[in-house]
Amino acid sequence: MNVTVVFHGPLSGWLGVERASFKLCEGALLTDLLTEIAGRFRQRMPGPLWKDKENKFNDRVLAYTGRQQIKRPETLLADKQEITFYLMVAGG
Amino acid sequence: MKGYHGKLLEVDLTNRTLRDLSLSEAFCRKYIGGAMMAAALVYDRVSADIDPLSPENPLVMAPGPLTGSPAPMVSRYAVCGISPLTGIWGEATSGGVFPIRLKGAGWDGIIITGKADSPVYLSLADGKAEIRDAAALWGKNSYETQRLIKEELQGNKVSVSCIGRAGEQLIKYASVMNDEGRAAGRCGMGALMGSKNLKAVAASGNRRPEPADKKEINKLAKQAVKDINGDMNAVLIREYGTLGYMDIGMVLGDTPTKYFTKSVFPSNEVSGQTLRQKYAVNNYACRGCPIGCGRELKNYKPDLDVDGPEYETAAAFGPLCMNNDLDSIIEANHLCNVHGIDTISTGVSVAYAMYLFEKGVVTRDQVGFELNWGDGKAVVKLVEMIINQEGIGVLLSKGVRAMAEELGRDKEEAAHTKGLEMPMHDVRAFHGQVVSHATSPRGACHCKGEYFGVELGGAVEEYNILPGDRLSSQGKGESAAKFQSYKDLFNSLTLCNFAPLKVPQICGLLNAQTGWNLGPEELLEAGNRSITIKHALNNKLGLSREQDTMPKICLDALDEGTTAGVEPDMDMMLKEYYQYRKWDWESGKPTPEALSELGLDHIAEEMYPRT
Repeated sequence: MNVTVVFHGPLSGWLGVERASFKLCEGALLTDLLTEIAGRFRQRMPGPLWKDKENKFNDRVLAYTGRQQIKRPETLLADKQEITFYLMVAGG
Repeated sequence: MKGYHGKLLEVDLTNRTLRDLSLSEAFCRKYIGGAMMAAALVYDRVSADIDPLSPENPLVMAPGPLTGSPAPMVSRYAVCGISPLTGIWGEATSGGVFPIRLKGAGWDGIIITGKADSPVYLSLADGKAEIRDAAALWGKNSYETQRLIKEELQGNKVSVSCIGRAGEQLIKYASVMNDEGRAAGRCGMGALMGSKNLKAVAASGNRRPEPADKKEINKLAKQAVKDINGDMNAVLIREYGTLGYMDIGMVLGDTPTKYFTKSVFPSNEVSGQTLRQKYAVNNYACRGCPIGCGRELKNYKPDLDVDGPEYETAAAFGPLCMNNDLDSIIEANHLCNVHGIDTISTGVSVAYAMYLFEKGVVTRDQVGFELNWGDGKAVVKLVEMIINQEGIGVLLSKGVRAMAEELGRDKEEAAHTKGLEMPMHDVRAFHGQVVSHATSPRGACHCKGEYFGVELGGAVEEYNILPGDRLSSQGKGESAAKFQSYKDLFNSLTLCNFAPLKVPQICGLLNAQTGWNLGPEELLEAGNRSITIKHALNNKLGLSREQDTMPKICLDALDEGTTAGVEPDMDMMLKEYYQYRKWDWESGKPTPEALSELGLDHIAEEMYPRT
């Protein structure tokens, strides 16, 4: 199945793309997608953005599908799903 | 006493006298330094009917006990007095090299009263203070002033804090500038300086107080730097400056748009990423800061380097005016820095003028040109007119409260609290922020009690300040009160707002510097004292609970974006806030009990005289 990932705002700056497609096995979970993201983009990420041991983004990066936040790594993904990652830190 | 010089410099410009004022350890422990110490000094020196532009209004510049220590992100100072813009407590802070040199000059702060009979500047160098002639500097912009004073003093280790033309002209929201484009921007402290004929303060020296435990503070400082470097927010603002928040704020509905009437705007044209892509950007760091959130744009124009806009500035001249012309934002920001005016108050005043133009209240004849939303050139032109005190620029230079009054408009559409223009964080996106804006002693404030930071994951576990539903008002009053107290202390220590240090780290650094043994509870109590003394000062100047409020234009539900249809419950949160602080809901004053608990009995005696 195919999943589209959108990297919002500053994330797209670091990773060099705003959108990316991932081909995943049927029944793939969010954690599987994160593994793929790390494989493709880990080298471009500033250190604190990714937690290698836990195979996930920094806790300040949130995943959304539509207006629904995906919190659990074991969340089942669907074909043609679009997932947006937002960096949520305070500033200004 | 460790960690302090144990003295302030008291300057009377009318009589041109200078004298040291001793500080006791008890006073320092009670009021810490920076802005809280300034509030204690100002409280005792002003009468209820003080005119902010009179010689009697004291101007205080003060770093904190951590300034000059090995701790990171502490080269900051507070500039305080009664605000010419609001008529109440005024407080602005800035970082750079100047604060560490001010401390290095040999005092814990300076308090300036009186008015010089001709322009002067103050030179502080290694324990020696001197009032010098500044006639040749009057009329110079802030960058020129800094350069000329450094040349005159022949010191490459001299830093200068000064005013530009705006401060000289007593523009209500004139700022105080240091280290080129760093600004103590808010509350019109530049006008207060100008009213004293004080063009600048120059500082140099290396007189740093001995820390109580050098080994411990070095160890803690090293760990603090490590923690800062691993912090995600620090990574973001190092890469993109504070402007890195633009995209995030817009998604959340936190970046106000079209003068607080909308929340959706294509902000990618004015984001931190775009700035980095379009221009050669260098980072600027305050002394001892491992982040470097400042931006310097090299060769913005031939032979002209400028300081890059901060998030607040870019949002005020950008989305708030529906303007996505980044060049015009940079230009407006540069004009504000060069001539010394606050970018937030300027931007909000310009946006209000656009709002009034659309409604036909302000006309082309009054302005001199069309003033349509999104016109970047018009934004720049209005900034010039404010600085030059030309045409409608005179009205805009008084701020939105005065604009609404003079034009006979509903006060609920003037975006300010207590006379200070609203910063670029929309309370509809973070309800707890209502409390911070409405109750801040200096007026609308995004710095002390930036509750959006809590909701975005910035918990303070020691005080049970935890992220929750950002669009709910439930239970936010007390939580926001505690957070406000905690963050207010940063301006006293003086510690940068972006320092992601934990409460025990802050206690540890302060204790290692001073030899004290403050714990988290005592630290929070100091924060409560800081807010309360400033609030009591405002009470003394005539404020009541009615002024702890926000205008409807910033509260009414919007019909778009992620905050559509939501309206914060301000009254409920304010009641909780007052209850936590033990302030009287009817009079708006701290109760005698609250004052006594915070060691402010002398204020209780004045506020509640025995008959």
